[in-house]
Amino acid sequence: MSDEQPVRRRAQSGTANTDAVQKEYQPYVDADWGFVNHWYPALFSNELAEGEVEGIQIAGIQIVLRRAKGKVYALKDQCIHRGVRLSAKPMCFNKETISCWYHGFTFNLESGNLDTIVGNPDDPLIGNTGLTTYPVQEAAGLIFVFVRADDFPDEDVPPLSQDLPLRFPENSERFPHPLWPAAPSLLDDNVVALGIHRTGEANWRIACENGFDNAHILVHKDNTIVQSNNWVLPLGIRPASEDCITIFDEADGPKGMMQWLFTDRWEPILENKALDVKVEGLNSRLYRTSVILPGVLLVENWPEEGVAQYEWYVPITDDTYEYWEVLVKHCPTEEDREQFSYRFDTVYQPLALRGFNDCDMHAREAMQDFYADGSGWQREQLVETDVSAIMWRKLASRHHRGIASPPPGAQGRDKASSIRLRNVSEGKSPGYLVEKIDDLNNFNRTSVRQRNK
Amino acid sequence: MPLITCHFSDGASFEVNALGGRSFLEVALEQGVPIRNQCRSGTCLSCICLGAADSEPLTVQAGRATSLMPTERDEGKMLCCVSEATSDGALYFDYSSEETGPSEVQAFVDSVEWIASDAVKLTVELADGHWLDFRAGQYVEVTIPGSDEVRSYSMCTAPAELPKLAFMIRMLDSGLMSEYLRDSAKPDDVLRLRGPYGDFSWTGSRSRPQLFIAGGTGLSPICSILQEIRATSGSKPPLTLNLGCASPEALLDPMFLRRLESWMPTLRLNLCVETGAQQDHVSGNALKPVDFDSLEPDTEAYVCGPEGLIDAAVERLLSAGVAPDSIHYERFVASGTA
Repeated sequence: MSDEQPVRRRAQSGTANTDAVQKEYQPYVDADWGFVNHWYPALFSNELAEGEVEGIQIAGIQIVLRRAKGKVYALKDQCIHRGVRLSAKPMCFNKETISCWYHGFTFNLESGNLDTIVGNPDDPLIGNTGLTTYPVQEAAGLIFVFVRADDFPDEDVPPLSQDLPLRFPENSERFPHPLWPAAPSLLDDNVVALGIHRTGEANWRIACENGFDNAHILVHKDNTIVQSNNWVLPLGIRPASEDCITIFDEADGPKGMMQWLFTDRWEPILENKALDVKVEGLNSRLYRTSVILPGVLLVENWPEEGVAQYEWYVPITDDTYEYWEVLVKHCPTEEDREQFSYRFDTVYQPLALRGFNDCDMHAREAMQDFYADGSGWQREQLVETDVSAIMWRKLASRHHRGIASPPPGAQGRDKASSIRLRNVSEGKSPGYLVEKIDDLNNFNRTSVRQRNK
Repeated sequence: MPLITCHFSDGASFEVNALGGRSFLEVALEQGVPIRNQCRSGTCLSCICLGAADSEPLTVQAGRATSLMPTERDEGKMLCCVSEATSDGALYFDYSSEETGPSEVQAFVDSVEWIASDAVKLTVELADGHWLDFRAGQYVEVTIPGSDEVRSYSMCTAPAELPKLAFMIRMLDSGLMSEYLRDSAKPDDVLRLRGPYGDFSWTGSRSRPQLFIAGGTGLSPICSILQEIRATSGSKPPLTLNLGCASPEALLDPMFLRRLESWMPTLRLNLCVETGAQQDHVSGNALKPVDFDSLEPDTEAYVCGPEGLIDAAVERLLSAGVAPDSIHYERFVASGTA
C-alpha cells in the first residue's frame, strides 16, 4: 500500500440527509427516486395502439412499451450493448421482438433475451444475455407495469390488486360509508376510467402527501368547482380522535391507511378568533381519502356521486413525477358511458382535474425547493394535522418492496447534462415520455456553422 | 494436448489441459479457471493475458480478429476467447483469482458514538482512491493508531453503504483500542484497515427461517447481514434476532433495532438481558426466547458472540434437529487487551 497522504473523498452529490439523525421513517426519506417492485400506471391503453412503441421512465428506470398482437410488453429501455434507448427510434422486424435502431440488437418481447443481432447473427453474445422484462397488466383502460429491480424474481410478483386501493362493497363493513354509495374500483366489471396524466416538477413524496393532507383545504376555497357548487368549506380539519386513521396491511392485500373523514374523528374548524374569520353555513362535499403503497390515492364520492378519483404520483426522477388523475364510474350501458364521457370533458376535466388539482400542483411545486437537497425532511416543523403524513411515511417505510436507486443512465440523474440543457434551451422541459427521433436526416441544431461562401 | 499454466496476481496458478481447436477461454472456464470475460469475440479485452517471453502457447483462431494492437501482440499479449492452445506454456493474468482477496486500505474516522454503556459505533469512510469489497458478515483488521497492534472488527453496515463502514466495538476499561476510541479518536483521523476476512455470511435463502443469535457486539456482523436482507429484492424469509446483553444499559442501540423491526415486516426482535429486564425485554441470555422444541427443522442459524454462547447455541440447535451445515457461527476473538 502506498504511504502517500490519504485524502478525503470529494462530497458525494445527492441529498444531505445521509449525515443527519435517522428518522423513524428513514427508508421513506431515502426513497428520493421512489419505490421499486411495485405496480405503476404507465400509459392509458389508447396511448399505445397496435404495433406502437413508447418509452417512459419510472423511478429512474427507463422502460420501453410495445403492443404486439394486442398484448403490451415492457422491457428495459436501455440496450445492453451501448445503452441506447430502443424507444427513441422504434424498429421492429416482427411481432415477437424489438430491435435497437443503432446496431440491431434484437430482443425477445416475452423473455427479454437477445435473440439475434441484425448484422451479426452468429455473435457468441446471442442467447447469453438480455434485457430485464416488466410484467404488464391492463385494467379499465390503463396499462400497469410492475417496475422492478433487475433481480426481482418472477415468482414474487404480486397481483395488481395488492397495489390498488381497497375495493367496495367488500370492505364496506370494515370501513362504513353511510353518506355515499360504494366507490367503484378499477377492477370492477363495467367500470370506465377517464383521466389525464402530466408531469409535475416536484419530488413524488411531496406530491403524494399533498393528496391526502386534510389541512390544506384552505387552498381550495377559491376553486371554480367549489364556488360554482356553492360549497362552503371549513377553514381546516383537525384530527379529533386516536382512531382518526386506520392502517390496513393484511399480508395478501394492499398496504395503506384510511382517513375517517366526515365522522366525529375529524373536527372541521369553522372559526379563527385571532383573525376574526368565520365560516357560516358549512356546505362541504362529503368525501373520504385513503392512500396505499406505492403512493395511490383514492378519493371516494368525488367529484360527484357514484364517481371516485384515483391519483398516482409516479416518480420519474427525484424532482419530477407523473401526476395521474383518473375518475372511475360504473357505466353498464353505452348511454352511461357516453354521459360519463361528456361530463368528463365538460365538467370534471376543466373544473376538477385541472382547476381544483392545478391548485395542488402549485402547492407541491412551492414545497419542492425546501425539500430538494433532502434537508427539508429534517427542517420541517410539523403540527397535529400532519399526523396523516407521518403515519403514511411509517407505513411506507415498513411495506415498500424496495427503494429505488437511480440506475446509471437514468435521464435526469445529471441535472446539468448538456443534452438536458439543450432540450431546455429549445423549450422542452424534462418529461415522462422519450423524445423520439422523427427525422434521422435532420439533427436540429441552431448553431450549425457553414463553410465560407 | 498442450498443458498451459495460468498465473494470477495473488500467486494462484491453474493448469489447463487444453484441447486444440476450441477457444482457450471456454476450455479454461470449464476447468474452473476464473478468467474475466464478456464479449467472447475478441473485442472487449476482458480476457487479456500475457504469454511467457519464450513461448507462444496461444494462437488466434482462423477467421477471427482481435482488438490487440500490433505492439501489444509483440509484447506477448493475447486474448483467450478467440485463441486456441497450440503448445505448452504459461499465461499471466494481472488480477487476483479471488474476487475479494484481502487488501490494505486507509479510511477516515467520521464519528465514534456510544450505543450502549460499554460499546461504541465507529464509523469511517474509505479514503479517495481506496476500496474494499466485502460480503455482509465479514470483518477487517484495524491497526490501532500510534501502534502496530491490530484488532479484528466485523462491519455492522451493508456493502451497499460503501465507502462508509461502521463497526460496533466493546469498550474495556483498559486496552489500546478502547483507550484510543475513548480518549483521542476524532473525525478525520486516518485508520489502516486490512481485509475482508471471514466466511460468516447470509446463505441467501429467501424461504427458510433465519435465526440470528447475537451476544453483545457479536451483533455487528448480524446487523450487516440484516441490512443486506432488507435491501434484497423479492420476498423475505421469516427472521428472528435475539440480542443478549448483561443489562438493559448494555443493549446495543435498541432504538435502531426496534426501527429495523418496524421496517422489516418479517423480523421479530428479542432483546435479552441477564439482569434488570424491563417490560419489552426477555430475562436471560440470547437463547432464552428460542423454543427449541418447536424450531422449524429447516431453520438456518447464525450465532456470533462469546465462546460460551456459541457452544451452547450449537449444542442446542443440533439436538433440536437443525442440520450442522445450517449452523453458521463466528467466534469472537477476544484479544484480552482489545
